[in-house]
Amino acid sequence: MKISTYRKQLLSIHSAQVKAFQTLSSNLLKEFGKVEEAEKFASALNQLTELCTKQYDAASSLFAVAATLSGEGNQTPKFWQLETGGQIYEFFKAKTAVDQLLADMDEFNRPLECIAAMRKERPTIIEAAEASRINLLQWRLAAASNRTHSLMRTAEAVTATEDAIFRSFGLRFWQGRKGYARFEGDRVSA
Amino acid sequence: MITQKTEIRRLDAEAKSSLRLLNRMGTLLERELTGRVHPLIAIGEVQKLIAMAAAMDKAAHSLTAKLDPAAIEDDNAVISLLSSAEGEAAAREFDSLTKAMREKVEQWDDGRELGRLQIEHYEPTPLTLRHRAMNHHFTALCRHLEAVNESLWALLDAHFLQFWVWNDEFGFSGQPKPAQGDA
Repeated sequence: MKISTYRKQLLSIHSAQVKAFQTLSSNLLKEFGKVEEAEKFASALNQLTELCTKQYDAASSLFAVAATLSGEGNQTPKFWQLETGGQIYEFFKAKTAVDQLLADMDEFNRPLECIAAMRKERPTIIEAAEASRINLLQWRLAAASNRTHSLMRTAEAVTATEDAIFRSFGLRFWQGRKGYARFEGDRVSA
Repeated sequence: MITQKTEIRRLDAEAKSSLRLLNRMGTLLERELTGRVHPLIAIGEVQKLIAMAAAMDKAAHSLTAKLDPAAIEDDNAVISLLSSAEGEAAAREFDSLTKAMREKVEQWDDGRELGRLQIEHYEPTPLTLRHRAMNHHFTALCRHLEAVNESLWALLDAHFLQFWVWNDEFGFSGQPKPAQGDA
């Protein structure tokens, strides 16, 4: 397989991943966006989705420029050659913010935080119907917690695919390079 | 809030599409590795990861398929499922697959970090570029495998299957634990 073919395949995987990420996050938001108790959780999700979209948009435009350059015979373009309207800055800014938010979400585990908050409130809720609603919501949030992790891992997978595409152009970046945020949090080493 | 049935259908669809995407990524990496030697990634490892995802999917679905969708909150159904030989085997299988996956991912993320950094420093020949790209491709594959695993956990959660708690906390085996102090 030629490297350009490999790259093309990676690019199509990248867009499929972004689509999967967006579907997952919109599903989660549809479900919890209007639930009062999950307000914090929904706001973290909103923020992550917004930042990731920014990152993907910037990355896509960088890929397009790099593809043009490499098509013109410049096999390994440099980052400064990609400069078009501050896209690189946008990309790194969004990427760093996403990294930080992912680490933050891992550490504080927003959905579980919501569940804990609800548990505290439970004794004061007398009405059985309300109690069962909360109970059901807790289970939903337990599933949502896993889905959020899935969403976060997907976001990281997209970043890794972007890295792979950049590498296939011969591009490396040291500024803003971060280990991927992981469950333990200790792998986030600059 | 949407109904439970809709939620489960949605979770199922999410897990399925996640798995499909993983297979696509894995196949591409496999094809890249065919006839080419990578210093850190063996083709067998990629195949192992894909097989792992398929096995996880199978184990999770064999559990959820045995629960009546109309009576999902029925604790007795969950308990009798997990204490049946088949149910317990599937639950344990899923649990150990998750552990194996974490080990594999850890091995790549931490154990091979130095190797990956070295490749980043090599002279940028066309082959090195490919190797670098494949490194990140493999990282993406690992992240995605974790995503598939989490989606399946979500599906199990939505079915009120919390066997991992019993497994860790109580050494769940379907048999009541002997009371402390009994001779």
